[in-house]
Amino acid sequence: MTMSDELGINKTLFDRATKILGRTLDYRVENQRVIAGNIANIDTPGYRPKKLEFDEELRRAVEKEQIHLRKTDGKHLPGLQQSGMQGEQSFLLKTEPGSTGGDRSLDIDAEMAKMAKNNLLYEATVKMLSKKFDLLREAIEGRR
Amino acid sequence: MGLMKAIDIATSGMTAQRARVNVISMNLANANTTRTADGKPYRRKTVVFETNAIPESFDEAMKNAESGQEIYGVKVTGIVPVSGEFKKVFDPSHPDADKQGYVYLPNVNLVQEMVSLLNANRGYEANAASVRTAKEMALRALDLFR
Amino acid sequence: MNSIKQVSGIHPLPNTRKPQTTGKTTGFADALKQFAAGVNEELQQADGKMEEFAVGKRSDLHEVVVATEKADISFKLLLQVRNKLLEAYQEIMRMQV
Repeated sequence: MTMSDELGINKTLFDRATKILGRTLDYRVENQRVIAGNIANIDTPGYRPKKLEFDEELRRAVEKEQIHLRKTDGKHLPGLQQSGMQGEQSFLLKTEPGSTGGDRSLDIDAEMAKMAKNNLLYEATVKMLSKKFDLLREAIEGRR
Repeated sequence: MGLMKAIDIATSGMTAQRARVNVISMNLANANTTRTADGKPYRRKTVVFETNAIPESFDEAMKNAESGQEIYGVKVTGIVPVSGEFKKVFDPSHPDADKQGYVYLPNVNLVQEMVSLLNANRGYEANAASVRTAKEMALRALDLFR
Repeated sequence: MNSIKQVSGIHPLPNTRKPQTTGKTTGFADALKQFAAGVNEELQQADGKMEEFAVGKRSDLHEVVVATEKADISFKLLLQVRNKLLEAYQEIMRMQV
């Protein structure tokens, strides 16, 4: 157990949103690699493009919690713990099924667009996470 | 409906223009093809574009359906032959000449195809600019984070 | 010898008006508490929006950014108010009585 575990910092100091953002960041980084792989194999015969799925459980849990949260205290969230936020789980990698009659199932423009979007969302997640840490630091340092 | 959707829409535009370029290339390559698989000269082809609803999440689809605003991208729904007379050229020595000595050439007008090619290229670039702009706008919003 | 008049008890002072107590006490402490609760609420809301965006449920980035920044500024304001109050308190404590 690391020192921060013993102090209970991970449980108390870093709230749920921080954890979700961290997980999302993992996803974005992994997704970038998958998309780059697709693009690299543009001309490979018989290559099927791959797609990385986000934690469906996590997404559903967040959607449910948001409605629930409006009424209850924000820190009490039993549902989320079971959706694998504790452990290191890899995301689901899916291979797209072959399209019938299509000569090229790998649309270079679509893949480039996916990369642009993923990059954008990565930037957004990084900035949000950084913002949360800033707020934390501000609360701790406080005196100006 | 965020900027992500704008990127999807512009991307569909790029894909469509690329398909158009492919078809134009095919026309140009076969501008003098006097015999195809069915025995007749090559007939010029063109792409058919159609508005195409961009697949989106269920929540967004519900919201858009309520407000009545629907935003579309574009989709290639077909590559169809263009009707028209073949060009008739008198050349009895040609292996595909008919009994009167006329050869039928494809209804491909080189100048017209080249103009289409330029348009397709410009369309592609315009859509790429759309994507770039959407991305820039999102990054600007992120800059608010100090 | 005059009879000593019976000394009557000390009359109570004529009835001074008691301070009126209204139902609500709106002291500065309460205002501050309300403000802090409001800031907390804003921060929670911004958090929620961030989560929704990260998970893909929400797609308007600017909304998330603006909500977060507003909550951030409110929080900074609260912090400064607290600092000033602390300073004022310490100053008072330092006063020679």
